Amino acid sequence: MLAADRVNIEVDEGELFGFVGPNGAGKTTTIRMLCGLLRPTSGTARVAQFDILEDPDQVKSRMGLVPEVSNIYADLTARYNLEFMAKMHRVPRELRMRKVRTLLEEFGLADRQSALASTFSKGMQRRLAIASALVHDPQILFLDEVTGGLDVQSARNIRAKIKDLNRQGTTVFLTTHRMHEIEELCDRVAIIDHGTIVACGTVDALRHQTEQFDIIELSTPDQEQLLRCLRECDLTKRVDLINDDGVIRVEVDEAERALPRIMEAAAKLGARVKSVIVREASLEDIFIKLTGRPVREEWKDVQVGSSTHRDHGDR
Amino acid sequence: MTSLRVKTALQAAVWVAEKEFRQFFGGLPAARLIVTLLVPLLLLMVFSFRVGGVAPQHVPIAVVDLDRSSYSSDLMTVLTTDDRFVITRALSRAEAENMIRRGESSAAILVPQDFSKNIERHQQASLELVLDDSNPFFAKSVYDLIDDSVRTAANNLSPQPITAKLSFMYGVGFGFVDFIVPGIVAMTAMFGTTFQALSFVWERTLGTLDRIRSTPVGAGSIILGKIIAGSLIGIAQAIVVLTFSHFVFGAVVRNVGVLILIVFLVAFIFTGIGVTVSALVDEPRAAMMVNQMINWPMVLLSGVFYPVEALPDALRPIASLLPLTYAIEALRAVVIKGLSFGASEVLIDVGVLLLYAAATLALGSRLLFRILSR
Repeated sequence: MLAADRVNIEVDEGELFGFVGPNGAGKTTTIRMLCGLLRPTSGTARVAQFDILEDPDQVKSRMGLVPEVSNIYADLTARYNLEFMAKMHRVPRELRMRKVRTLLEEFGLADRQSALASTFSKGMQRRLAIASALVHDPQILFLDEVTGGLDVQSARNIRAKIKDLNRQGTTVFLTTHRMHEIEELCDRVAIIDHGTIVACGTVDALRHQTEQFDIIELSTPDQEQLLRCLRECDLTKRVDLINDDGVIRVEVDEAERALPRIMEAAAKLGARVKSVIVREASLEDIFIKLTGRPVREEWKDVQVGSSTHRDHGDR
Repeated sequence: MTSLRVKTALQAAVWVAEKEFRQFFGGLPAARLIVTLLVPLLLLMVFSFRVGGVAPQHVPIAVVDLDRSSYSSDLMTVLTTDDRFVITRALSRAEAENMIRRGESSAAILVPQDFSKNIERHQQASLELVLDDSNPFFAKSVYDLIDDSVRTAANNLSPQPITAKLSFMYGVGFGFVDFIVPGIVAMTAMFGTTFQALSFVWERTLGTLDRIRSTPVGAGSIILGKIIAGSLIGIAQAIVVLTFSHFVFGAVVRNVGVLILIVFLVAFIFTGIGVTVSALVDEPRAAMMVNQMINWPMVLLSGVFYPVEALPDALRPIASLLPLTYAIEALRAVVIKGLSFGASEVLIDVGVLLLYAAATLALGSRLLFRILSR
């Protein structure tokens, strides 16, 4: 099975690049290949001007990696975690001491530097993991789901930190399945699904696409009937059952034209509609349009394949 | 250029080892130390009381007859016809002792010059008995047998009881703790180091191995660092066990330098085995299980608690394949007999251990290297 197939992207120096895709799309595999942790079966890549196959050490000394799971040494102190990584990167002693001190302060870990990392909260552990990837001042930083599983405040702090780092010149390659993170942070974005790139461009260009369609969400106890009826309706472009609560998500060109027809059809069937939400499409909706799958965890109950009009038959 | 490369690789290995030490002694150092040392100390306690021996057969015995009288030849006949013994004649005490040292005899019986004279004068006649106590487990049984046989023979020779003056070849005596200490030291080193090497599996699962791999440090340095740490931790544990054995249980400890070198080899071998296991198995619980499957037969078959000679014939060839067998044999020779590298028996064992060390290390790092650099 191919986890990542013919992924072809280019990230410019100093860019904050987003890499989005549903779970299992091949994001982590791609990052692991770029960091020299996994050998691609064919093809290669260049990171910071160096080929990942020919000069893995040059690549490794110029990049930092923060994986999805904070892989810090929980049984070591925060300070030693940083020191050890600096040693592994052969940062000279004096610079090492200085760098460790600065990072501990910058990431708000200075007062707990002698505590074991296992005693840290998730947010602190993640901050330590990011700091560990920065001990050697990498040119490019790979962040894999870096705010995953964190509370709102911690995630916000980390996003601010990422913006800072990028402003100071670090190229950032970020994977996430939080669309708002992409909107807030990224200059450009690539969408990966089933191991292939389905879209790549600036966030603005993507956002422009959202103006092209609307979303109607219907809450109903009579899902079966309504689903069948909506799928047969010619004004709906895509119909999904989002979860067991009975919310039906409908993609339409124009809500004003489609909504009366939908309600009319529902009334004719005798299907009860408890609530209706009409909204403009978001980046998340673009994502569903492109991949046929939602990015967000909480949407994983969506019955993929329930759509009728798939308008991207190129997969 | 190359020497600089080697230097940076070695430096990285030392740093990895330092990290291993911090992990070992950090966190809950007291709990970890107690856990790793509890079993060996408990074993020492249990075995400091002697357990029942086995009934040996065809025990090789050297006999020196300095008396050359009809009395002494009668005694010889009794001993020779007793099929529990295989009697060899020696010309002098020195020759008999050499036979014991070479492991050709388990005991020597000396009939002194005045043996017949004393019997004829109705005075107390006595024999001298020298026991090979490098294996106290065995020595006690041999002593009981000889005692029994000589007593029977003497009853026919003299109305007066004949006494046997007992002396021990190595001054260890019947203390079982002396016998068990080398085994427990080797066993502790084995358990300590395999456990340490298995931390690779955890590191793979937790992703911390990826963390090191995302730096320019090579696989060789990572493996070497683990081995340095594993070996030193194994030696440290062995030293603690030795200290306790000597000062608390009164065990004989000789040639500490040679002993530590052998323990180092044991640590090295079992780090290699641990590394091999962690390269083949990538799930911690499975790795632990495989490890148990290797370590326990090793403990039971290589003579930690009883001499390998006491094993059934079918199992002895297996024992002779296990590195721990050679380690324990060498340690006993060093600690109890006070032998050093000058002795061929130590030299052979150490040679075998060196071969094992080279083989396990080569295999382990080769397999792991493949994983680390893929």
